[in-house]
Amino acid sequence: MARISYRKAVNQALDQEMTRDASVILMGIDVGGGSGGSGDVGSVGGVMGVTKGLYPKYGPNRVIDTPISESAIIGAAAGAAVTGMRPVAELMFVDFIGVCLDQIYNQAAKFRYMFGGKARTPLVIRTMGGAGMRAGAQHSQNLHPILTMIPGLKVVMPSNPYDAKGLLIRAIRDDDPVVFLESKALYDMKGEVPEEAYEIPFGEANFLRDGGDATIVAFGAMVPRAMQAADRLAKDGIRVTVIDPRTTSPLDEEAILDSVDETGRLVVVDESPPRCSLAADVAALVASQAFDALKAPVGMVTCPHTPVPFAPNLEDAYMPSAEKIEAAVRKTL
Amino acid sequence: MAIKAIRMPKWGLAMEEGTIIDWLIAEGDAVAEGDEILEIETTKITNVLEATNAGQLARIVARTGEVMPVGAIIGVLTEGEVSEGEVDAFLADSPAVEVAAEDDEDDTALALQTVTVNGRRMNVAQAGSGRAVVLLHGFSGDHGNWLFAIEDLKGAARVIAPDLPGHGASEKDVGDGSLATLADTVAAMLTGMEVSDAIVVGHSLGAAVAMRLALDHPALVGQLALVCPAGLPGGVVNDDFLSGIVRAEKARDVKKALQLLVRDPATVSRDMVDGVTRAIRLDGAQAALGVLRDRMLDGADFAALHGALDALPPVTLIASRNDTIVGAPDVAALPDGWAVHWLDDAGHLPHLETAAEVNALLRALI
Repeated sequence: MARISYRKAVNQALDQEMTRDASVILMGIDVGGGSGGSGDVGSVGGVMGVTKGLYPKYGPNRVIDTPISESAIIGAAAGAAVTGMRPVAELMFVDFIGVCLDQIYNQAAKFRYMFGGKARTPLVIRTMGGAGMRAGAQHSQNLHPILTMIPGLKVVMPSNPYDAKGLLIRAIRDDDPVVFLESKALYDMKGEVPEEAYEIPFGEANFLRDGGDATIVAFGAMVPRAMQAADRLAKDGIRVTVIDPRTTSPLDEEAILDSVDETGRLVVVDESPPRCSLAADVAALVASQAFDALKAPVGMVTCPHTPVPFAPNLEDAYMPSAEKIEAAVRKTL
Repeated sequence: MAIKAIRMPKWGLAMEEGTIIDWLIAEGDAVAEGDEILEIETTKITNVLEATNAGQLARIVARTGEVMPVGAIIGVLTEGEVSEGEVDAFLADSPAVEVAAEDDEDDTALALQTVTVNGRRMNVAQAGSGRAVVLLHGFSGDHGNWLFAIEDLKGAARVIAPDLPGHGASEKDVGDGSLATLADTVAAMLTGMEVSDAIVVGHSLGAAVAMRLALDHPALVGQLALVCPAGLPGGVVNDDFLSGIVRAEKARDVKKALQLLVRDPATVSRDMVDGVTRAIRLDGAQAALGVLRDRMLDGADFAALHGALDALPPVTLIASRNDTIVGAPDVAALPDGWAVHWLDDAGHLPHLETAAEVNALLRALI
């Protein structure tokens, strides 16, 4: 099986779904990358090169370079979705979602509900988030908690190349709006990915490791860090279960509760400020539904309640690290 | 006097590390070649490591529960009088991890290749040289189910283990899903690989395919070994398993189905579940498996085999007393001359559950 990058896995999912289904279109800032000029074939394909090669292959009618207007991109994509297309709209950075939030939460997310189930909105919004790239406070955020709390949206946070491909294919075939949150920090991560198309269902957690001493739940780019922490703990004979829920909405509550039933100890790792975070959400889930299983208070490893710092040393200190995760697990023991 | 390292074996391409489950002998115990010395859990399943030399277990390096990379020293075997100091010196001088080179020069290295057969893409694993031994997996399996058999047999034979149509990394098109279609595809593959007079080993559905192959393409098959075969007189078809896989949505559905296959449900590891889950999530895989299931439930292909058992080449039947998937064949209804071996300790996956026992029976055929 080929080992490909997270970036390539996303690209392959887009490519295969565009081949399979002519109603799948891409739109966004620079998704064609240099279209209209002489460099079509060598077009960059977005600021991270994720859509590279798709403009030359599918042309300007299906790979649409848009003006720099997020409200126009998402508004047009939502409209295209309800009229029968399967648009994959790209927001260059999730930080820019503020200017098109109305189109997302008050329009696309409401159509099925408000039209009595008769409207389908097969819209995918691809975007990227996360700190660690020295990109400053306006280009480094993770805003999944804001999106997760909106009924009518599905929210996906792939943590590896295999999941990125299967979850994006699932997202494109889904009849509801899906926000697909890629992680800047993971684009170069490599892993085994089948060449064929496949779907990973939403709401199914991935167990990366089984261990009876504690459970770590981690999202997106925090999953590899949780695994590093698990490796360090294993050297001292501490065996932890590592769970990646893969989607924050729907959330695989059963997997988390079953695991805490077995281990009695939980640490949640979420790259976002602590208030109203997924860490707080999962901690509340376990406290309200598995309190009797808990042998120690739930640990939460999050960022502090500040903007993402630009100073490299402060940005590093801002992030949940393997060391912090390890310490949080030890505190529960 | 001789000192040898016992190293973590590599069972199958994907294995990177193993967990020591239990040493079956103690330090100081004598062993003969082929004795079972310890249980190791891989990402697939737990298996037993056999001694490759006679001697004495001088030192246990990796204890129960330890996870060691492939090639790591896990114990020390000595022959004759060896002092503790000499064992210490040996350990100090030996690389802690040493992986046997598996380069192109070594024809026992497992190679995966893709071949096109009758317009279908087939994924096939090959290792070793000599007489061809063809391993056909069962419903929803793949070539990886034979990892212990491949490891054991590749030194003595040319082992060929395809992913059947609809399975693993092979094409998802299974046509009408009949045994004849599957057998014809395997036949075309073997012909393309210039194989004839092979020992064909089939498990479950793969065993029924093996019988059909022998009947329809007799030049290809010299003898048969049927492991928990589907489709024999007296057998059953367990639809809870078949439909459990065909309808599975979540990994936990797959786990429930796979647990029906084994005697001890705890042997179904997370990685085994993940492997099958990944395979059936490929576009078209569950639809293909549905076609195969319907064909098996229909039963006509199996009935056709019952009338032709006398025409098969020599058969070794390896059946399991605790098999709830295909049941127990009615031995009285089988032709005279079949060599029948009953296994007591496995469920439907003896080539994984009690691999050493199955491997010994297969080795004896070469």
